[in-house]
Amino acid sequence: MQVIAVDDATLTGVPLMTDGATASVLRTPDAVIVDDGGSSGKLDTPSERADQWPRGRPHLDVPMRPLATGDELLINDTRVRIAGRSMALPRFPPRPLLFTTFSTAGRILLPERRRLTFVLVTAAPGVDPRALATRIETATALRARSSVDFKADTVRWMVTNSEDVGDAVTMLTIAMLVGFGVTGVMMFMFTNENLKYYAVLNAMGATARQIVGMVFVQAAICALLGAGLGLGLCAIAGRMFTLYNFPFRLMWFAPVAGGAAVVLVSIGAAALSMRPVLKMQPASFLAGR
Amino acid sequence: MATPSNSTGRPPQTAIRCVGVTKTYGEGNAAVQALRGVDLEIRAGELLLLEGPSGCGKTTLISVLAGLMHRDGGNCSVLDHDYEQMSPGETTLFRGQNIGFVFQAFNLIPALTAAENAATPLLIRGLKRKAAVDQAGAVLKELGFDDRMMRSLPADLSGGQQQRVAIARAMVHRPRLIVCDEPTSALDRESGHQVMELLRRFALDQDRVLVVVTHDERIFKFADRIARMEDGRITRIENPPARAPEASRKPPAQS
Repeated sequence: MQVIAVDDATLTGVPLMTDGATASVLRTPDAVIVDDGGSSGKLDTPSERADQWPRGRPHLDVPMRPLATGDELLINDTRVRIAGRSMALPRFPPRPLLFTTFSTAGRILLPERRRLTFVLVTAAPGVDPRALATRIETATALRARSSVDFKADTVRWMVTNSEDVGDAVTMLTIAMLVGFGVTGVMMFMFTNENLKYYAVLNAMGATARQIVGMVFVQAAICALLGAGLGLGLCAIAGRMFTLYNFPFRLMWFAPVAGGAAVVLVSIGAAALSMRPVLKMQPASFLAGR
Repeated sequence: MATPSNSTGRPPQTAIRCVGVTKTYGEGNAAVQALRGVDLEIRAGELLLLEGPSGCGKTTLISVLAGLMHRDGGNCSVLDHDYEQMSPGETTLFRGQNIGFVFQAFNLIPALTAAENAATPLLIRGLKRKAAVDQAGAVLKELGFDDRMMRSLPADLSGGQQQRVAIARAMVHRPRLIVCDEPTSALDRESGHQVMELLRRFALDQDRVLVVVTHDERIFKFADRIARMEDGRITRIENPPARAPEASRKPPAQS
């Protein structure tokens, strides 16, 4: 569980809450807000008190229920009370979150030399967040970033430092190479298998341009089917993930980039399989060879 | 002198004239001379059989006549055109408009129905699908196909039926020259005779040219003339056995 402390006075940074509750619930003593943070089942608690658990059975399979408003938690020997649940965007990797005020956090967390990670600031209406960040930097000599810049910094940091991004790129590259190889070989085999029919069509007057067009139309149909199947399966997988509260988000550029990759692979495969078509001699098929 | 008959009553025109045609495959020690100076003249409305042992150059010769292969030497005029003077694209278009092919292995496209297969030359020329298939259907009907057979895939047709589709495909665009390579080799006697009757009727009725490569002696009687090839040359041109009374006619050209 990650503890996120917000400013006692403004409560800036508490995400949208369930059941129409507001962040002001944190103003009561020892109040905390819990959030699944994209995880599943980690904020569950036994339905019955410990002295009512079935005897002679492992405690791991006692009936569970989600934590609810009014439940109490014991954190580092400090008792806190759940004042509500929030719905923050799922984290990666998923991890339950606990929002509370900075003063409460100071009581429940173990002593640390540096406890303050960042301060969330809301710009007053009409104030440009970037200009405000620049003013804060000038006044405090600390780094201040607007929300948009902070997101960009985070993505850049992830791309530069996270192994996950490198792993994903490596997997995609391998998938592309395998896909290119398999598709290329299949297209080549398919074209080779039908070479005599292309030769027959050429003998009957089909021009090289018409035959090349046929091969590319075949490749285009394969690409369309492949892209459609891929996107369909991806959508189904995404739907399943969201049904089970796994974080899944299909960005607009993913199908576009995927489609472009499929087109690239298909054109490459068709071009590779074109060579025997352009080199064929219709006469060699006249005798049924 | 007797000459090959045609339906128009006009004196037959020379459709194909080849003089000293040569063709060699490979180079150096691996070179094989397939044609060693072929002289041949074929008139419009004539059905010429090319006969000879395997490897004597029959298929090479019809490939040259059909513009599927370049000759190395000699002269050859086919329907007043010389392929050597034409670009590859012009040759392909010329084939599409003027030449029909009947292949030994039928070479029908397995995914297309009989009517669609027969319509292929028309589709290549840009005719709308329905018009092309209707036109092909009419030709197939002449060849004894009913509607059900026209909708059948090649795999569902007998060898004789497949060969008829191939013949319909060769005839559907009314070409002036049809080349056939062993058209009856896969057929029984009766189917073979039917196919040759169809081809002969087509040649004579339409005043066109048919060149048929064959080993099948059963079909010799359908020819106007039989050209015998050996070692890349035409060694003899004869009248068919059943046309003995016309044996005195002099062949128009002899190598």
